[in-house]
Amino acid sequence: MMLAGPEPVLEAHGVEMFLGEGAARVHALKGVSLSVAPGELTLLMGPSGSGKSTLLSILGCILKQSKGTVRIAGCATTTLNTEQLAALRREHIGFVFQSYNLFPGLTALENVRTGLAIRGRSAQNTVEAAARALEAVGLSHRMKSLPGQLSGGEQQRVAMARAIVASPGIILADEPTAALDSEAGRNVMQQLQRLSREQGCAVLVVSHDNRVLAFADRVVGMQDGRILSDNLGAHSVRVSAGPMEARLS
Amino acid sequence: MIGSIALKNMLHEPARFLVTVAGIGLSLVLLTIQLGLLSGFDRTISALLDHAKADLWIVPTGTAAFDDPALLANSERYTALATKGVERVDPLIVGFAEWRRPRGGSTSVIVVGSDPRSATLAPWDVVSGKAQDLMAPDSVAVDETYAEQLGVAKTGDLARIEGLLARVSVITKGIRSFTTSPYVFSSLSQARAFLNTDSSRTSFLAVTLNPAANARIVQEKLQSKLQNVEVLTPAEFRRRNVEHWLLHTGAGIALLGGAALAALVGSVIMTQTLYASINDHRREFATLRAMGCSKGFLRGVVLCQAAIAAVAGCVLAAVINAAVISATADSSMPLNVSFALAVVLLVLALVMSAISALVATSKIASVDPASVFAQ
Repeated sequence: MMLAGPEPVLEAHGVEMFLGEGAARVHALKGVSLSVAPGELTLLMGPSGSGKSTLLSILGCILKQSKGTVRIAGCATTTLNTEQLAALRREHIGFVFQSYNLFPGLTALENVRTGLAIRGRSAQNTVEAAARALEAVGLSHRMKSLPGQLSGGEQQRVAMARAIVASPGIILADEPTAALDSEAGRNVMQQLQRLSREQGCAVLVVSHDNRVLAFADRVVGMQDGRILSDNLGAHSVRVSAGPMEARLS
Repeated sequence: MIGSIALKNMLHEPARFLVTVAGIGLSLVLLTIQLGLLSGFDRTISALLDHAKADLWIVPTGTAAFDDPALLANSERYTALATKGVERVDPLIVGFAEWRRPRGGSTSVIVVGSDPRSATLAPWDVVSGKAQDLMAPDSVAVDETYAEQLGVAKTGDLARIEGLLARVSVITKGIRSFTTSPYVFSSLSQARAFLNTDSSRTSFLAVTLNPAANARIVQEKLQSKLQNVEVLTPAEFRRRNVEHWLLHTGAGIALLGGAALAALVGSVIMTQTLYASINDHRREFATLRAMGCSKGFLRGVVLCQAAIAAVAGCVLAAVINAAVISATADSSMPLNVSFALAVVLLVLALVMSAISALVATSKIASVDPASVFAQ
């Protein structure tokens, strides 16, 4: 579905996905269409097995859809090979994972620098940019800490700093609050919200955590590989999510 | 950054890193010991030939090894001397004999007799006495490695060879035999006496050529003129000698088999250890891949990680090997780890680590990046 206003940077049209083979073959996505515009925080919700993570993987150019088209920043992914898809990810997408996936032997600063190193940035530039990214997520005082020395919420913010350090136009977050307590979860969602509003990122968050509803501009509901609802009324979402937000505080 | 990621990835878990380094180090020690032994045996087997002064060798037809020859007629020497391009022909006597210890008991020895004046095959690395002392009657040279086996300890000690008096005039250091029979050097005439060989017979003829002579042409001429002999270059004789001991004796085959097995086991252990180490970090690599990291970057990290482990393993192996080499230096089975062999082992370690890293990389590159997402 297209939004009025800025051109969408993330588009999926009629996406179908089959996983597995033979008797184990699963029709994971059944004609999904979705567009996400810059400056929008979209929440993708649904029960386990609804296809959220599969859709996120396809929109993140990690999996290739069986049918349909996906466009990232205007570029169709259908004909791209794995290396071209990887390049597209590097160029446009920042990822935030549920389990943070930080390198345990690298400090917070070094973990963030990997987000630039894989993009071929020189060492000197990466230190300054990584420090700025950590400052942006409020962790300038923990730059030299190893992941094991950080709380879950702090680790997730480091992962966010790694995702945003190269200023991607799109942030894909997979259950970013699932492993966090209320306070840490709210903090992470606030950071994602700020990224969409202040930096104009298109943020797509996959979650089945109702506590994050309060931060969404839009809520897309999935079930059985289909989009069941697409609530574009950010205000109404916030109103309906009032009690959830209250629970976070 | 690639190096930093690789190094910190490995050092973050010191126990796992140490296990990896120990696995690589010990497999390299295993390889070094086997290859060092093989190299040491090669050197031991060929030591006498390597120290002999000869441009060509005339040997009885079918001679398999230096230590166990048949006998030539000495008349062949004069035929050889009459050949154009030949400057000198020196006889050499080699044969097994019984050495009777001064305090009782006996052992087998290999008597090597040559003219001390020609220095065709004089004892080397002399630590007591002089090679020329062998010109005196009854004089022999023995190696200090076998002092206990021979029952002698210093120059002047007496023993008997095949019932004849043998006076230790010269002691060397490091002239070892591949067999259990030590070498005993003497003059040509003394050796003939010990071996009960008359002066018309000789084991080998060492041919020295005129400086302008073409060795290949003289070899062909000698071969055509002489009956029941083979004319060999030093390299041909050396190769035949080594092949005999390593390929046609049980001990040699066991040694070669052991070395081959050690090389195989060492390689497998090293590859498996590195592969496991790299595989342990699959999740981090999958994360990098999901973030859009290129295969080249990923290979760089993995190769760097493998190189760090390999180099650390080499350092550990070098320390252990130095101790083993030092401990065996004066034994009858010394490890011969030359600079070239050390370089070969280092290259082998790096190549094997690179191969295992690439195998691991291909596995990692095929890891589904989607696996880093919550299911």
